[in-house]
Amino acid sequence: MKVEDIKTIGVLGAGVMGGGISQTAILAGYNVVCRDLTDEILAKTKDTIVNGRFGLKGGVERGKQTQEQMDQALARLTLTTKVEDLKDCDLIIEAIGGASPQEIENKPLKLKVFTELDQLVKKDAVFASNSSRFTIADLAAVTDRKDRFIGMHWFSPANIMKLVEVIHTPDVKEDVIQLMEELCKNFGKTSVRVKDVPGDTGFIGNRIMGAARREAQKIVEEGIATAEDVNTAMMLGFNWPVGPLPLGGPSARSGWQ
Amino acid sequence: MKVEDIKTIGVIGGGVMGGGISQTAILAGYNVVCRDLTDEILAKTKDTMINGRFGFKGGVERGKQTQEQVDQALARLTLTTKVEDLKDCDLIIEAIGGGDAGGLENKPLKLKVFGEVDKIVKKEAIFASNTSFFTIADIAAVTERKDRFIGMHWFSPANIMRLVEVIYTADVKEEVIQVMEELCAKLGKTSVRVKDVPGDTGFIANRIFGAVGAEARKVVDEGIASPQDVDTAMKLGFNWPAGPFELGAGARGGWG
Repeated sequence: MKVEDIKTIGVLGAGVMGGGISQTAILAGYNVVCRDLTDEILAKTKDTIVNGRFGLKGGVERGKQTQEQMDQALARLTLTTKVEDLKDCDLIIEAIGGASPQEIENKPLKLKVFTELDQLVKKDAVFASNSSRFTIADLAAVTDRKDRFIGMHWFSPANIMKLVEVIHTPDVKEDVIQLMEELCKNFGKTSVRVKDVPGDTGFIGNRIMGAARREAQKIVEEGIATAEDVNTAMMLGFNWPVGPLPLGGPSARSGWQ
Repeated sequence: MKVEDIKTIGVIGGGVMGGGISQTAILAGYNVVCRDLTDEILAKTKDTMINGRFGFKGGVERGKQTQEQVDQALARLTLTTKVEDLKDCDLIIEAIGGGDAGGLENKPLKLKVFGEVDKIVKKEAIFASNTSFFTIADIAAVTERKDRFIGMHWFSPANIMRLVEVIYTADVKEEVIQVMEELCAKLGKTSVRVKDVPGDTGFIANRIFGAVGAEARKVVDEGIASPQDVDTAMKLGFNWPAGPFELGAGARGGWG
């Protein structure tokens, strides 16, 4: 498969990430079939794509795209609750949430969904997971397409942040990696190539931020400084846009509202 | 001592940090006595302060300060090779580099200098070290003013970066911590209060960045990604201004 062969992308999960990925893809000229469990969820997804903080409407107002481009993009979007509607997609991007407010992601759920999907979607389609930390080989293992199963980790908000981590297992074909890298470019993203390793380590970005967060928590637990001062130190001392410790506020989890 | 009692600040070391600290202090209205070993070093310090990348000249051109303010600031600056010229300072800020060892910092050298300066400088003066990672209590231990010895860790370039870590030992008086916090405010800085701990751990920011650097090296050593891609990931994924493999050159090399 070549990147030109990708016309229709199936996005599994219409939450904060799935919605942002869908928005990016339709604006870049791809047909998107976005699937989630209920019509209520899908209605919210569409509303966020149009009217959300990083939505198409605001983009038109700020001159990022024209109204015509927005209308054309939305015409490429299919929202569905039927998993069968994904069967002719050239690429599937899985962006399923944790299925509970306590967790961002749920590995057993991803395994279950990929198993089902593998039976359903056409054989030559590429499967990608937007998992932010699970070992890709573990997810690929439940499918019969390990040579075209890859990690494609976006950052939130997905239509704004430039980075995509492309994670390659030992089984995936080099031309599939390259296809994903070219697709990232077509989306206006910068990709980095990441080797998949066992242990759900979090690739590059989340693994390094995890180390920063652990050290920050230790500093607070040892009574060295307050969480607020730790965040201030990283923001003013190293010009990070936010500190490593969560103190509330809008985020990927809360939907940026 | 109250913050108003601080009129003259002694800065030990005229390098990248000492120069930037001196520049900040004279612009904020303080007299500064900046001491280093040779006239050549001091001439370079003054040149950087005026003509450097973050110097006064550029500041005037960009409207950060007027030429008159610069002239007044420079009139408050004394550059000297004589350690005795520090004796009447109200506050000493130590910013000594690595010395002959070639490192960023040199703990034995700091201990030696503080041992000497403690005998010369007036008894009520506060001593502060700009060390970026040494335990402050270890340095205070060579002086007889542990109750007015504190950490004051600036970030580079010192006249630009807003953060100062104020590091308090078990011996330092609360009023001295507060004087330093008020001084930071007068210098236009935001201070964070950091408890001193044993082991040269690097306070807040350098400790966290150390953990980041260690993890980043592991990612590369394990063959997961290239250093360039690690830097790209942290810049584009988390909007960091620089990646873990990119920092250090500017501060060490003097920002060109």
